[in-house]
Amino acid sequence: MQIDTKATPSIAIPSDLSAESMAGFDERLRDLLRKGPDKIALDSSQLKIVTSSHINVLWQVYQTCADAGVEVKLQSPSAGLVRILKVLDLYDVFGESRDIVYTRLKEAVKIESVDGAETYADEFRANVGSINDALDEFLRFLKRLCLHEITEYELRSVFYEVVTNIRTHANIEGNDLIVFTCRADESKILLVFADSGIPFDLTSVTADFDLRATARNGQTRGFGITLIRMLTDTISYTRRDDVINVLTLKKKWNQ
Amino acid sequence: MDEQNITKRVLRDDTLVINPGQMLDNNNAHSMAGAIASAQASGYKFIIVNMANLQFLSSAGVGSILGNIETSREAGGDIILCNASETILHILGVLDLTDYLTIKSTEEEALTLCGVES
Repeated sequence: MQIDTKATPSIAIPSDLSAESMAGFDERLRDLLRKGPDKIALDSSQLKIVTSSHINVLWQVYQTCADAGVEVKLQSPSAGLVRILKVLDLYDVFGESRDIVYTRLKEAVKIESVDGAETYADEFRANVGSINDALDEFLRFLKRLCLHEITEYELRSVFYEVVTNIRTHANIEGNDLIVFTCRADESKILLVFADSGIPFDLTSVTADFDLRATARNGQTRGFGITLIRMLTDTISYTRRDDVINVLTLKKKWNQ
Repeated sequence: MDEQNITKRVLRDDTLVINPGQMLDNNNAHSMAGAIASAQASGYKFIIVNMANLQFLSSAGVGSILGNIETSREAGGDIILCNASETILHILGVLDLTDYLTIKSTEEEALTLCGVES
């Protein structure tokens, strides 16, 4: 799937809300609006600690831009800012600039190309239809690798479980993107997934999950992470500074 | 989607066969769990899950079966899996569930276990 991207002018929200800082910010905002953009990105990366005053500034910027007919989207909001905006029912007002999120996601899943290795990349929305299509595409890639049926099925399972896990735990919406790359060489396959949802580190979930005890209790959750663990050799999770989640899994061949 | 269809077939007063279709994943796991629970509530002690058409079993699909097994066993019955493909059996093995689950090669073998003449 190809996603449309184009550059959006950006302005950083200062963490320091002193009169001097805000005067400079107001001037930069006015300069930006004079250029007549369709939309601007509010770079929120400096807001490590968010107070009601910051929210007030965000709201004032939104109103100023709305009066000028300019769409406003957040860029690089912290998880804390996203949570606060959601609690205040303001997140949908700002949302995040999809093209900026897209660029970050693409950057997050970059893997080096290696001579002789097969690579594959895809990007898809976090809804059932898109995920199923992505799974079909991934299967076509696996077919090209001529893997053993069991190995192919294991990788299909890993892909499905990871993506549904992201969809469930990252609290992303059906229109949000998941970006994926993988590289297979003669000894292993590397799978990298990126999303812009809330942090969820599946490597932090206990490894000694007792399926049978869980079953006896009539519970049905937690099997997916166990399956991912059992079907891969290494898993690493990173929450990047630009609030992108990156999950990297490695599976060796011929064990 | 047709492939998400879950069908039921009554064999006798206490035995029911459920066919989960081609896929048992997050999209229909809740339906599968509901079908099993409904069968249990209706007095079916033995529930045979015939996986002859099943091509993909996700963790949610496993959970839909696993979460209901003790209810059947406590009622003196069981949930019996049959006709599972090599890949499905492999996944159940990876999860270390093959000993815990009752798995038979064919529906006839499953029926024998339930005391039903095929």
